[in-house]
Amino acid sequence: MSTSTTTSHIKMGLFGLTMGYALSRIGFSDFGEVHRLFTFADLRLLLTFGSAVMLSMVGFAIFARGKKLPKKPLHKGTVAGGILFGTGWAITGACPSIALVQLGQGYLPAIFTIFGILFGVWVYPKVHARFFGWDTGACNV
Amino acid sequence: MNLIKPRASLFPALIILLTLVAPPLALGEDESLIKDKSEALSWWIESAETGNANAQYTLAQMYASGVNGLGVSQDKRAAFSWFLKAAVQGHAKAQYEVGQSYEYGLGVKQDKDVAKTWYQQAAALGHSEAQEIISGTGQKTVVPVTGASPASPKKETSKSEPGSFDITSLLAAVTIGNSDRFWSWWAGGAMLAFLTISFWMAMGNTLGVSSSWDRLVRWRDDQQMAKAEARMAKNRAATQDAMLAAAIEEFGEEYVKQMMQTENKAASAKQAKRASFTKVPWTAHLTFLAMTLVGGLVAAVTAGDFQIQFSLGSEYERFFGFGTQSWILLITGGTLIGFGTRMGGGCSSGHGLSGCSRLQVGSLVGTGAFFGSAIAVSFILEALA
Repeated sequence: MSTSTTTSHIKMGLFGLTMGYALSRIGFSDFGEVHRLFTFADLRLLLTFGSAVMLSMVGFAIFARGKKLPKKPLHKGTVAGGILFGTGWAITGACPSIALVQLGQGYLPAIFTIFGILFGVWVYPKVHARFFGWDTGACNV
Repeated sequence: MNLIKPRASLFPALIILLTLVAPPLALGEDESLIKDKSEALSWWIESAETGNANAQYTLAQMYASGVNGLGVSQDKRAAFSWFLKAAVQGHAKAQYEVGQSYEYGLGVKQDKDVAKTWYQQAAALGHSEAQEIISGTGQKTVVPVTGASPASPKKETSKSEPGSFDITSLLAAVTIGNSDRFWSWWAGGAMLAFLTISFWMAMGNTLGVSSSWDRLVRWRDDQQMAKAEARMAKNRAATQDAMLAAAIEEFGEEYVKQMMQTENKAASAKQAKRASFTKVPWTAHLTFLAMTLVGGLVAAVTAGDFQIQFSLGSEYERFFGFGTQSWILLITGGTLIGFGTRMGGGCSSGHGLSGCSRLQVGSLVGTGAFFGSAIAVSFILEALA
C-alpha cells in the first residue's frame, strides 16, 4: 500500500514537473501569447493545441484499442460550464494548471487566480446539489 | 447530508456581481499607464510581438543604437533578431539591415554569403542601397534570388521569394510567433500529446488537471472513503456468509453455485476497473499540482528569465491595469475557471486534450464552448481597451 502510494507520488510529481516545464516553454503561461491565441493574432498556440489533439488521437488509437477509458458524456452543465471557464481563461490567461505555472515563473498575481480556482472548485458541488442536481454521468459530483 | 445552508445562494449571486462590476472598474485605470516611459517601449514591443513588421523594424533600430530617453540600451543581438523578424515578413529595409548585420557580424556571426542573399532580397524589393551593393560587387548572378535561403538562427523560413507576400512567408510570419522565446508549434504539440498519452498509460486514468483540483479540495472524501472501505472489509466476510445462507434457503444450493460463478467474474472485472480509477490518493494530486508549479519555476530559471513580478505582464495591464482591482478580477476569473471546469466536467487538458482526441461528445462540445467564449471575451476586451 505504502509503496504504491510512493510510486503514485513519484509518477504524478514527474508528470507535474514535465507538464509545468513544457507549458511554460510553449508559452501557454504567457498572458500575451494566450490573448493572441484567442484573437488569432498568432496561430502558434492554436497549432500547438491542434497538433497535440491530433497526435493524441493517433496515440490513443494505437495504444488504447479495445481498452476502457473514462467517458466524457454531454450533460446539461457542459456548455454553460465551458462558457464560464472560457471567460475566466480569457480574463486571467490561465487554465487550472497554468495558474500554477505562472506562479512558478514568478508572476505573483497568479496567487489570486489560484485562490479563485480553489473557491470555484470548492463551491461548485454545493451549488450543484442546491440548484442544479442533474446527472453528470460521473459518480464523483 | 445537509451540506447546503440557505446562505449558499449568495455565492452564485456574488460571482455574477463580481463579473459584472470588476471589468469596468479595472478598465477605468488604463489611461494612467501610458505616462511611464518604459510603458511606451512596451507598446512597441507588444506591437512588434503581434507581428507588425514596421514595429519590429522600429524596435530593432532602437536596440541597434540605443535610446536613452526610453531606457533602451544598445543591444545588437536584440536588434538583429527584430530586424530578422521584419525581414522574413518582406520588409525591405529590414532585409537590408539583416544583410548589414551578417556582413559586419553585428549581433550575429559574420557570414558574407548569407549577407548577400539578404541584400538580393532587399534589392529585388527596390531597396536602392542594396541594389548598389549587389551591382557593385557584381555578384548578381552568383546566388540566384529565387530559392535563395539565407541561413538564420532557429528559423527555416527564409525560403520565401522576394516578392514576399506569398503563402510561405505569410505562413512563416504567422507560425514563427516568438520562436526564440518559445517552442515551435510542432514541438509543443508533440510534447503535450506525449504527456496526454503517457499519463494515461502510467496512471490508468486520463489527464485532467481540474479533477486534481477537485480531489485536493475534497480531500476529506478520501478519508471517509478509506474509513468506509475499512469497515466494509471487516464486515464483508460476515455479510457474505449471511447472504449466502439466505440465498441457498431461497433458491437451492445448485442454483446459487451457478450464480456465484458468473457473478464473481463480473465483480472482479468491476473491482479492477474501479481500483484503477481511485488508487491515486489526493496527496499525489497535491504533489502533481505542486510540481506543476516547480516545472514553471525550473523553466523560467533555466531560460534565465525568472523574476518576481507583481503583474501578469504589459499585455495584461493594457486591459486591466495594475493593483487591487486587477487582483479582484483575477480572483473572479479564477472562480469562473474553478466553477466552470467542474460544471463542464473538464478543462483544457481533460476535455481539450484527453477528451477531444478520443472524440468524446461532451469534450468536443465543452472545448467548443470554452474556446468560443474565450475568443469572444478576448475580442470584447480588445474592443474595450
